[in-house]
Amino acid sequence: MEGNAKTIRVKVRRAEPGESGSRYSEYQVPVDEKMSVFNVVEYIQGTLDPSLAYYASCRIGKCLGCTLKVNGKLRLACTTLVEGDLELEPDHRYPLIRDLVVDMSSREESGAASE
Amino acid sequence: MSSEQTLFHKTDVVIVGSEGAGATALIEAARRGLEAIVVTKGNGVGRSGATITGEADLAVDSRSIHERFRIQGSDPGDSKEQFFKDTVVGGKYLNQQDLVEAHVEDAPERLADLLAWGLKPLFVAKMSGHTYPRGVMVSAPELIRIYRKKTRETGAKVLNNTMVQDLLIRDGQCAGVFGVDLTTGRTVAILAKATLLATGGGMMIYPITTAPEELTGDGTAMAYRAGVELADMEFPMFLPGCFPWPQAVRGVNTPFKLSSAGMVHGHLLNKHGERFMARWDPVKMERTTRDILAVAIWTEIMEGRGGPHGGVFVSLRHLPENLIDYILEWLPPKYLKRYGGFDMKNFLPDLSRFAVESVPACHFFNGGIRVDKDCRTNLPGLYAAGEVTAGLHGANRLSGNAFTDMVVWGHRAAAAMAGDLKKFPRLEADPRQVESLRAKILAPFERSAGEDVRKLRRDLRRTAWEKVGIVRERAGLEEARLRVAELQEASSRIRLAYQGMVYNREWVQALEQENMLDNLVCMVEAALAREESRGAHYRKDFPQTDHRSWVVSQVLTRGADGVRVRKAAPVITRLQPPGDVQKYGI
Repeated sequence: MEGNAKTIRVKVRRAEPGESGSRYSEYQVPVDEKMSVFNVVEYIQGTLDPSLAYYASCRIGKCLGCTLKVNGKLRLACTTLVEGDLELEPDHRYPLIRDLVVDMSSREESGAASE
Repeated sequence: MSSEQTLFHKTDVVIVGSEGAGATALIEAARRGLEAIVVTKGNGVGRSGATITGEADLAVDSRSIHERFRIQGSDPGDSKEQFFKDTVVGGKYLNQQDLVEAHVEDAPERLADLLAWGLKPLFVAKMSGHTYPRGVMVSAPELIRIYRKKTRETGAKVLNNTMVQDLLIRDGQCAGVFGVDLTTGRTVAILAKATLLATGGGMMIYPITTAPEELTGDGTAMAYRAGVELADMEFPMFLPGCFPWPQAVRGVNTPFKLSSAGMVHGHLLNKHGERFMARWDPVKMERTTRDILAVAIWTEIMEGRGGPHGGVFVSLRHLPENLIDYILEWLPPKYLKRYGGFDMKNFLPDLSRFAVESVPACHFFNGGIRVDKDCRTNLPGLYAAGEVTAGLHGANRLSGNAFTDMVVWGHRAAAAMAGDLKKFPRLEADPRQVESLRAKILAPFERSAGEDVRKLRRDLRRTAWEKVGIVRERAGLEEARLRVAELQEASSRIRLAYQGMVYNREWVQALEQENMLDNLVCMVEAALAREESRGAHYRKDFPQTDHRSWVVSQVLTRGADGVRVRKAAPVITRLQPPGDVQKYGI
C-alpha cells in the first residue's frame, strides 16, 4: 500500500511439547506501514503457515498475553511496530506449550513485558 | 490424533468465562460456600475478555455515588429512577424493565464491594446518554489485579486455555459443559448442578472491532444449539470512529475522540471534502448521537465516498495551527497521546495538515441469551450473566452500563444459583451426547480433504461487514442469508492442514467458525424480520422507528429447519413507550 510495499524476513522459533533444541521456521512477510509484530504473526498463521501457535487477546497492550521475545527482547507483540527483519521466540520465563505459546497461568502476577 | 478419552470434572457450579461477570460470580459463589470451577479460553485470569480493554467507567446513579461514596464529580440531584429512565430511553424502550430496575438498584452495592476490595475510583464523568455524571472511572488493569487476587483466594479450580464448545443436557436439564483443553487437545467434560455462561459478545464476527480476539459469541452459540432462547440479536453496537488503518491500531477509537466525543471539534469529511453530517443532523453535526453518526459514516463508506483505507476523514484543518497546538497541550495527557499500551504519536499525523481516517468498529452485543432477573434461562440449570445476555440494554447500551452489567449480573447469577442448587441433582453425562460432541469436535482432523477454515473465517467476516453491518436492507440481508447457508455447509467440511493436537489455532478457528455462524444466522433473521429502524439496527428500506408495532423483542430459537423468530413484548414496569412513528435516532 502507498507504493512502499516491502517484505521482511521473519524467523520464528518452533517447538512441540517436550522437544529440546532449536528449530526455526522462516517466512517472507509483506509489510505495510506501521504494522505490529502481532499483525505479522497473525498474517503468518492466517496466510502462510496454519500450524504456527501464538496467543493474543486484547491487541492494545493491556492483557499482556502476547508477550514474546522480539529480536531477543521481551516485548508485547501487539504494540511493537515492525522496523525490519524479525526473530521471534516465546517468553522464556514461563513453561512452553508450543511454538510461541507459554503457560502464563503459572505466574499470574509477573506477566508484564519489559518496556 | 489423541486416543485419550474425555477428562471428567465434577463440581457444584461451572462458570464459563473468567473475567468481569465470571470473576464476580465466582467470588460471590465462593462466599456462599459453593464449589466452583471456572473455565476460560484465556491464558490465565486477566489475559482475555473485554473487561481489561475498557477505559473503564462503572455507571451508578450519581446520588448514591455522592451520598455513599463521596467521589469527586458526583451530583446528588440524580436518582435511581432517573438512571432507570435514561437506560430505557437509551435502549429505545426494548429493555426488559424488571432487569433495569434490578440493575440500578444493585449498582451501588457492587461499587461498594469493589471499593471494599481495594479498587480506587479516579473521578466521576458525565457520559453521553446520561442526564447526570454516573461514570465512576477506574483503572481496568487495577480491576484485573483485584479479580486475580480474589479469584485465587477462592481456591477454585481455573481451567485455562480451555474452550467450552457445548452444553451437556440430560433429562431436560443442563448438566454441565463440554470442550477441549487447548494445551493438550484432550476433550473435557465438567459436570455441574448449575452452569453459568459469562462468555461475552461476538464482536469478532466483524473484521473491524474494538473487542479482543476470542470474543466469537461462543456462549450464545452453544446456548442456541441447546435450544435455549436468544433475543435482540439484530442489535450489535458499533463505535462510530475508529482507525481502519494503520493495521496495528485498527479498531482504536482516537478518531471518535477527535470528531465527536466532546473535547475537540473536528469535522467529518467524505472524499469530496463534504461535511456530510449536514445531511443527517444539520444542527448537532458531528456531535449528534452515536447511532446517527454510525449510520451516516457507514453510508458514506458503502456508497463509495470513503478514503483509501475504507474510512471517512476526521479533520482539524478548519482550526488555526496555534489553537491545534494549544488543544494538544491542554488535553489530558492520556486523551490522545496514549491508548492502552500504544504511544499514539506513532499513529497521529500533524493534525494541522492532515486528516485521519475513521470507521465504525463493532463494540458490543446488546443481544444474546434471554434471561430473567435472576439470570435464569429457559433451560433449567443454565444461567447467563454479562454481555452474553439480552434484555438489559434493549436496542442500545449506554456508556458505563457494560461494566455495571458484569458486576451486578455476575453477582445476581451466583446468588440465584446458590438458591436454586438444591433443586438440581448433579447428573451424569449422557454417554451418547458425550460421544457425539467428541466426534464433532474432532471431525476436522478426520477428513482427508475439505475446506480451509482460514478462508471461511475471512468470508464470514466480510459477509457480516458488508451485508449485516450498520445499514441493512432486505436485498443485502437475503444475500447474507444465502451466503451464511453456504458457509455453514462449507464449514461442516473443514479439514485441518495441521494435524497436531496441542494449541492448534486452526482447530480453534474451526470451533469458533461454528459459533460465529450460529450467531450470524440469528442476526440475519432478526435483522430481516425487524422492518423498522431502532437503536443499533438501521434498515435503509424502513428508516423510521415504529413504536406502534415494534416495541417488541424478537426471541430466537433453533428449529428443525433453521432459526425460529417470535415476537415478545418487553416487560414494562414504569416507563411506557411512545405509541407513534418517529424519525430514527430521536
